[in-house]
Amino acid sequence: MLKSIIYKEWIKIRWAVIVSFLVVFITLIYVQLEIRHYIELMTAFSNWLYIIQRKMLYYEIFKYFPLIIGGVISILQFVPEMSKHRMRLSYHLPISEKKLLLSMTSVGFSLLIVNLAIIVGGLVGISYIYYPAEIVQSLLITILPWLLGGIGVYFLTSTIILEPSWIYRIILMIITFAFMKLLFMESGYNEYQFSIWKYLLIIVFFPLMVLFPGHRFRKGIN
Amino acid sequence: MLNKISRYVIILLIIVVAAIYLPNFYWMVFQKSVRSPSIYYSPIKDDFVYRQWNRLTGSKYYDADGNTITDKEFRIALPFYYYRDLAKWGELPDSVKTIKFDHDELRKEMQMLRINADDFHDPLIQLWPLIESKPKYAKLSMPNEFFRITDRIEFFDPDSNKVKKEMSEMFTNSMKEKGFKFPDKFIFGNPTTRKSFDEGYFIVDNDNYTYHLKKIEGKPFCVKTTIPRNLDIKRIFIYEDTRKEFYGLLFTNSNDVYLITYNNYELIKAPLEDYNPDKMKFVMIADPLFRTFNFSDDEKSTSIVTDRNYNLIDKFEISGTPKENTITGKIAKTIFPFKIDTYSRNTEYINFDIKINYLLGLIGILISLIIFFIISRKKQFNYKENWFDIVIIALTGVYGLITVLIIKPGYWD
Repeated sequence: MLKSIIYKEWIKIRWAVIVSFLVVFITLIYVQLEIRHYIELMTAFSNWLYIIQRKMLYYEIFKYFPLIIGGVISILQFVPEMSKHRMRLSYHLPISEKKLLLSMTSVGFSLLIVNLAIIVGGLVGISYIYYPAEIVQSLLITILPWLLGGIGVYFLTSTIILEPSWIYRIILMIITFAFMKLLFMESGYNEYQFSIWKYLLIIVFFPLMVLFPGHRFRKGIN
Repeated sequence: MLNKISRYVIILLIIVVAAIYLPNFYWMVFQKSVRSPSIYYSPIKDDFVYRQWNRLTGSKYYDADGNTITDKEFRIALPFYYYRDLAKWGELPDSVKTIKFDHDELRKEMQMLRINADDFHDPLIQLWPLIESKPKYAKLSMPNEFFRITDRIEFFDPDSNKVKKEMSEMFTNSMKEKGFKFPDKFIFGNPTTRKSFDEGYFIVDNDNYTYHLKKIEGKPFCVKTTIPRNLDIKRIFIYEDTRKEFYGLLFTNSNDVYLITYNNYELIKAPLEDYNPDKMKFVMIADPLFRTFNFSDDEKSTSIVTDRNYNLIDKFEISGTPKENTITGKIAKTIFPFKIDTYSRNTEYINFDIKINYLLGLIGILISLIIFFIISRKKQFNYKENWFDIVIIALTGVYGLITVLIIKPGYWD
């Protein structure tokens, strides 16, 4: 049963995942070319100085990638289920609705994580060619809230789509927007260094969020 | 059970978002613009004068007794700051006290330093350029490498992204010779070429001794300073100024401020009281006659004036009312039992600080609970299944009340 659920989810999102891999890959190449270009034009010293003192984020192009990927995966997984109430059929499968929802989201979540891992790995790899460890470390601290934003938006979007009532959906959309805004306030590096664990502490619970709308759907709330 | 927890996760998220945004919306509507006054010491009046800005009345000027003075009187009282205006009006005095008035001399004698709370809380990658202190040309220029300090000092060549071995060894040995204990605790400098000369870095070693490191003609210049090791240094700000009176200001964690003088790094303690670097703006002004230290937050603005040898002459204080203590502030505290601050002008970091309004907040929580019981009675709320909703309201007041009423409990199995 579980195997077929996982397979079905994979079919729904495989194209998006492949396309996002490609886009991430191309953007990584772009970032590297841009660093080389900067160094060529303004010398490596000025480039470092710009990054350290002016706080230029040379990887900022990736800022909203996790958010978009998380949102797209979620939409592709759950919008088809909700149109024409197909989800009702899924809820009739011989598996509890909790297990069903959690296994569906864990497929999307895993692929999102793979995608984020490629972004992080690629950026770290490129950075080590041109920059010392201090700058690479600051990269990791700086992009962490963006990655959490992607993870958060995946579960929030899924919750919104699975929610049967439009009033709840609109409330959740506002909350999603407001919460996401909090994770993208950076204008320089390391700004979330001391507070990011508190945001993480909230997002850790997000995977459970999809259960409540599923429960409401099964109880026939509109 | 999991379904219930799922609902509480949604509720938790909404409460967090509400506790961040709702108090901000409240203050967007009700906040009145209040600015700290700018206080100066007048060598003409031998007393303080100050300027207070207000959105409705604009700038208003006062003497130390609180009497209004005109803009012109204010400027005439401060010839060192407004000598250009005075010259235009033909009001320039020939001399002020013992000082003969001379534009060029005056400009050399003036120095103004501003340090805000966020200068102490600003993320900085610990890679530093060591500028040549005896440049070949008139202007300073940036070097070709950055240094870091670990168990030695390492100079990085940005072009190859590799350590420059020879240079690193030369500087490491020189520092070790002077007794520097690696690794460092702090590095303080002013790495910019927009200054007239360079004083390099003040580096606190692992034994809390402060060293002065410069690069002179490519060679290390390292001095173990006489700065006491038990000072508990918070931050040193270096200001290369042509007056060459002091290298910069040293702030300690017990909120003392010292000047590091050019006289063999001897420290002079600024006679400040109640200064809190984490919350206050700090300005130091040196003019030909006096040294003025101003520091302020919403609660209080203080100005301390000393003679050129830093002996206290006079002190002036103006209290303000921070928005939290106004009636609108107290109403806010009653409505919102706590709030979460993500932004503060006192830091460059993004926070997630929970601020609890203990006493007044409890009143708000009680009101929220009463409202909830009235509403839930009518709606036949299932207390046995959803007792935790009440706990939430008891902990989060109005945020919990709104959220629990919107995100209603389901028909649990």
